[in-house]
Amino acid sequence: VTLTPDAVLALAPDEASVHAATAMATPRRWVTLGADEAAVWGEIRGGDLYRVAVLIGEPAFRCTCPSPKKPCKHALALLLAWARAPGAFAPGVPPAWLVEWAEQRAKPARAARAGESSVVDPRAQQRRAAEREARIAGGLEDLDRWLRDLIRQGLAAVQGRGYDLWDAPAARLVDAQAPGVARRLRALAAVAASGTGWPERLLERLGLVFLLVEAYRRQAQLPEDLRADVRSLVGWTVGQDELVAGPGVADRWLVLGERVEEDERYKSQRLWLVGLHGKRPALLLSFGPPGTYFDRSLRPGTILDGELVFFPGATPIRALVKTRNHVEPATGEPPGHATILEAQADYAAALARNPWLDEHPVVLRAVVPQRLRDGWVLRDATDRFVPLARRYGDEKRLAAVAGGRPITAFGEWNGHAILPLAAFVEGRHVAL
Amino acid sequence: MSPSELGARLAALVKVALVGTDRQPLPAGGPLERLHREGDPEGSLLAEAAALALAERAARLPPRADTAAPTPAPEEKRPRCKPGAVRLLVGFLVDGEHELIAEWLALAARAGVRADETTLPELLDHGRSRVELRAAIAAVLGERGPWLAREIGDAGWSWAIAAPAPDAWATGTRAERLALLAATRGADPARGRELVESTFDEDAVEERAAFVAALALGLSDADEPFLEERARVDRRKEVRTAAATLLARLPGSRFAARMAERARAHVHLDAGEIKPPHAFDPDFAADGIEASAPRGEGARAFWLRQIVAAAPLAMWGAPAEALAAARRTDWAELLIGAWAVASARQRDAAWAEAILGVTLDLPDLLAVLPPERGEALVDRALRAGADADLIAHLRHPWSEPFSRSVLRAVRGPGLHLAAPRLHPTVVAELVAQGEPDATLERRASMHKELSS
Repeated sequence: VTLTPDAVLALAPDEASVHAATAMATPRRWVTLGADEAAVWGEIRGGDLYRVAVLIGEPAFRCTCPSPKKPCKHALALLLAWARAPGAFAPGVPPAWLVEWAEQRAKPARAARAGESSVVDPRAQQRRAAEREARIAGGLEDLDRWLRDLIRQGLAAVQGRGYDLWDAPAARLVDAQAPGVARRLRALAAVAASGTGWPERLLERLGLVFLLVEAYRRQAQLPEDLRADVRSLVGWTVGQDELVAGPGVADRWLVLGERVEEDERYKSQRLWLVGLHGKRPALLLSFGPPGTYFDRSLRPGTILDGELVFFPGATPIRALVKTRNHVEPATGEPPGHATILEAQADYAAALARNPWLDEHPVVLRAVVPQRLRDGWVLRDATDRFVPLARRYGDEKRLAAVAGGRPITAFGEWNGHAILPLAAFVEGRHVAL
Repeated sequence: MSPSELGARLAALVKVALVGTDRQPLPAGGPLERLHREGDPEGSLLAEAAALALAERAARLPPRADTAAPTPAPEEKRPRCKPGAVRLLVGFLVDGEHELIAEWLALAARAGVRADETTLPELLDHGRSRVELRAAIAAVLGERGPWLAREIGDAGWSWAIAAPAPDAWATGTRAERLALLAATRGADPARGRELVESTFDEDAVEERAAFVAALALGLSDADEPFLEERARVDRRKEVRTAAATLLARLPGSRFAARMAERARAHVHLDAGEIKPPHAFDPDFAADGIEASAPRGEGARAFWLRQIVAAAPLAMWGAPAEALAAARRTDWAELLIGAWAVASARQRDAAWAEAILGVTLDLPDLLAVLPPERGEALVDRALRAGADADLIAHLRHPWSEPFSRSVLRAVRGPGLHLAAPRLHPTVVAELVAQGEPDATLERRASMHKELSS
């Protein structure tokens, strides 16, 4: 395995880590340094003597320092020092603490947790599930009544009411253990205040919430895939351990782009992938409290050779990594649509399978960014165009990268606009 | 159902939903009537609206542009800099490390590489406020930078547009006109001044002041008549001040002669007699002398200080003797301060060095000295135990011997003052020794990534 210093620094969670790691990546700063074919390790004095190790192939990081960052500056510095001057590392046998950690990692996490769940009484579990079903049914019943009241009294009354109007029924749904519906309801406050055309947008969203309530009630009549979508939208989660145990889809998965979002409640990371062979899109979704550092071992512009396993659904896209053979830098361009019309047809087909589809990944080949009268767009060879999402703020960078020539653009498409996340220009991946 | 029928039906439903089904019944007969349920107008409305909105979203035809596609940027002639260099520059721009940015630009130009396209907007923004860096930035923008500035049409980027059209002077925005003036003035100062003169009577006050100030580039005695006869007597104070600032840099100007005459009337160095003006002469204002003193300074002293600062230094004879004479009077501080201002304005290195030989309280004067003279002076001062902060005023890239002298004088926490300007050879040595300083690390990487 060869790793360039650049590739190492690309794993840093933030700019401060880059600086700190660069300063520490000198052999002189380390008390011990060692390496074999699979791992590098070392000890460095910080607030304490920290033990640091990196499994190079994945890479996986381990450090005894208290930093919440993954990887921390010590682990980065260790790998960076190795990438710069592997000669400074004494070849040898890994120390006991590293062997122990590597073994713990190799042990499938699910096996450990499966051991715990065997203690759980399956009857108690069933009873809890039945209780939750009853609570959800009650919550959705109340929501149904509330929605009808709203339509009976007229949406005009909504204007100027602010967030309270939506927060009360949303809180009721959280109590009823249907957090997915609560989230949808809370999002309506912004729609109601979104300016010209708000009544139509609001009615559309209310209609979709109503549709979800109806679908949940009649889930027994739905095809299995769509029923999985409906249950997940309401708030049921699928056991990830169970899922990972299922069959995986092997491919060379190109990491197209990343979107990290943070608000006062939680932080999320979306990594969009596409299988270079099977052309199948995938989404690796991670959640955490605000301030979370997400795994940075998969970066946009790299290829994961391995297996993904997909969450069930009518348009299965959310996935987990099941096996990871290796990660390598990407070359070439991803599969995509030659025209915007073709991409729109693909979106319509997905919408027909899952009407609650939010964000749909789309790769457009040969589009040019351009500013038209009403704002920035991507324009294809047939002169059709899609507007860029209004919250996208990097139009000038996008224009600079393209230089008025056709590029391959990747982004999230919502039926109205595209949020660009990456471009492929002359074989080069550029995060946007 | 055609898209227009679909839209019309949805609009009808929105109307009902707005006023409420209590007041307006759900219109019957829609093509999706099978979604309706007897006795449930609210549910029927919501179900039909959801279906219609979905259909509309799925069936939407992407619109067609009726304008021409953008003009492609010309092919690049230089290679792009290495990814490591890109990341360093992004870090410098984010952190506002102006000296490191300037060094990066110089190294990239020397290596014959261009900046990565992704950094062009930030670089163009950087040049918006940092006029002195524009030439260095322009050298690494490649073909894409000027293309982008023209394509985006942001006035703050107009300086990057190669060769502004000559007719921009009559029709352009202020930024475009300033870009044209700077370009013209650099190549042909007289032609540049003629541009300013050609529209001076029609231009607004902000333009007049900015254009006069822009004549600082390539300033010579040839500009004196315009500055003296038109700009100095402008209706607006901003313009008069800009003109006076430039005239004070021209020792051969009529302005300087008037200031010399005033200075002679109030300062008799040989006799050690200094008598500030008793009253604010009405002519003072016309030469940009301010009447009201800042708090803490007497008005008469304030007037005298301005006069001496604007008078040609040559009138005082040899700097060493003049300084010695001044120090025998009670006015030493005022005179030396005013001469320091005059040295900077008139770019008089001999005077600046003489003043620094007397006092290190005015370290800004180091910028007036040629680099090697400044280094020699600071080196002596450091050896004599001067405060290490002095090195912060030597803003050029330091020579290797001087860098080593500085290292002997500043140690530990003082290193961060020196880190941005130490000679690259010394930087590489320090980093190899494992000196934990982020600036040194970054400079060492920068020299490596941008080596030609």
